[in-house]
Amino acid sequence: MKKMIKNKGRAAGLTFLSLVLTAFLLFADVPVGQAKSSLQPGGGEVNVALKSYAWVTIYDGAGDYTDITSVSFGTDVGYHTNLSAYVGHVVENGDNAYVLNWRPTFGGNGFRLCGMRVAYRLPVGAGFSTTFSYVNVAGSTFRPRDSIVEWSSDGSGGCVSAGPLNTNIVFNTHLDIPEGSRIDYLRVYYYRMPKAYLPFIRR
Amino acid sequence: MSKFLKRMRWVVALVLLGALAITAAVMAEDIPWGFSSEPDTVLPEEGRPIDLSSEPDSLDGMLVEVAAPAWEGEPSADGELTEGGGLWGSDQLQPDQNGYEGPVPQQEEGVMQPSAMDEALPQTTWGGLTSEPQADDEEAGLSGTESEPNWSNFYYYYAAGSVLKPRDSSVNWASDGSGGCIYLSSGNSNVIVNLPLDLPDGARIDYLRLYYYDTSAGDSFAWVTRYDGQGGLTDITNVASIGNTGYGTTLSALVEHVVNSEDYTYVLNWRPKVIGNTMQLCGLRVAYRLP
Repeated sequence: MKKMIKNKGRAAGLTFLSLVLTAFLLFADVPVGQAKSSLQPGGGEVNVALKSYAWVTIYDGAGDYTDITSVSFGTDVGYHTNLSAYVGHVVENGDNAYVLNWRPTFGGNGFRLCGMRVAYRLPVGAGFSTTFSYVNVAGSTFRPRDSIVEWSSDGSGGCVSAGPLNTNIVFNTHLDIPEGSRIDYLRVYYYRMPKAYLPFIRR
Repeated sequence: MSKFLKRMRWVVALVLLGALAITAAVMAEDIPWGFSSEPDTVLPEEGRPIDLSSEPDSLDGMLVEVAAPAWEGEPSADGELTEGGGLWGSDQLQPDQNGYEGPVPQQEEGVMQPSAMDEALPQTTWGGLTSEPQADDEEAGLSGTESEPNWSNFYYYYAAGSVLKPRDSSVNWASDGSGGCIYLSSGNSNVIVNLPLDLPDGARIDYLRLYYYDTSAGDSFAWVTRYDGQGGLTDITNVASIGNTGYGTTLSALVEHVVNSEDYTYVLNWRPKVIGNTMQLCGLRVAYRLP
């Protein structure tokens, strides 16, 4: 009888302990300031403080540059797209080289750049076309500016992901837009892998 | 019955413990354990966010369809497609789509430049580097259309050095602080970096201009090659870096090569001949005319 009561007590104690700890994990928030540097895509946690960046830079060939637009992204799980603010930059190919850039911030194949699209208007007379033209670049055509980082593409071959190390290294590719066109928007397409939903995890 | 209940309690307790262990393990992945950090991991800088909170057309939750895997047998498929291709669709026009008439999203003031997240090198503007009239500069009046009635003014295909990448994986490369120049950091200095040169069919290539940073004793070379896809190639123009005083630019001789995109593919090339950041490619610019 005593043994049975003892066993019942152990079972009840373990159950209670499990429930208490689970409830703690369920409802306790990890402080963003502490977790910021370690949260990675694939851990379904949405951390708005940590983002990937896409942008367009113009270079003059002598070390001078200007970022004409940028868009941050990466906080949503699944396939998503984000749009820059309006740009309104008129292309001058004689003076500048145009480059699309991506700073992964996140490493591993759980986070992928799937493409960038630049919306521009061709010059017409003294103004610009009423319709958009596009340069649409697949993510997998981007390459790192520095060989110390690894990269890979997804099964489709259209998206690229950075290796787990050196996720601050920038990937880039050439951007060729007709002279005199006006760049209006930069759109980025990405994929962030959701982590499997496990018991007692509120995600 | 009591024996059954007793066993069930233990089963329930063990199941809960197992679930708790899995939960804890998953949570632990997101905790910044100091001892589990990967060596040499470079974390993004904090406190310098880009505020684009006004992203007007975020499609959060608007993933409408994931295409069925259609990769089998297709040339681009080199592995298992685990997620399928994403198909985008939305009933709502976006600001970058034709026909959109909504408010225009504006960039907020004070937004930082993403490139500035890297340590920048001291910058030099061209200034006196090209103070003299250049043959590939229409504004200089040296190559106006008066003498070329059948050809347009100049158009330019201008590529930053850092978008060219090695033809051979045996070398390592890096970019300068601006992100616009590339150099080989180790390996064979004769390995070439290249980039497709996409020009309209029938255009006439007149000049190739090389932008470089050179403080070495050696010279680098840039050129344009066309390939026929059957092993045949022709170098249609070339230009070398000169001097060792830092940033510079050199111009090729007049080429007057008419592009034949139907039969050939055109490629920009650069051979550094030097390992290290004393020899950097900062850009290649092709001046061409349309018929």
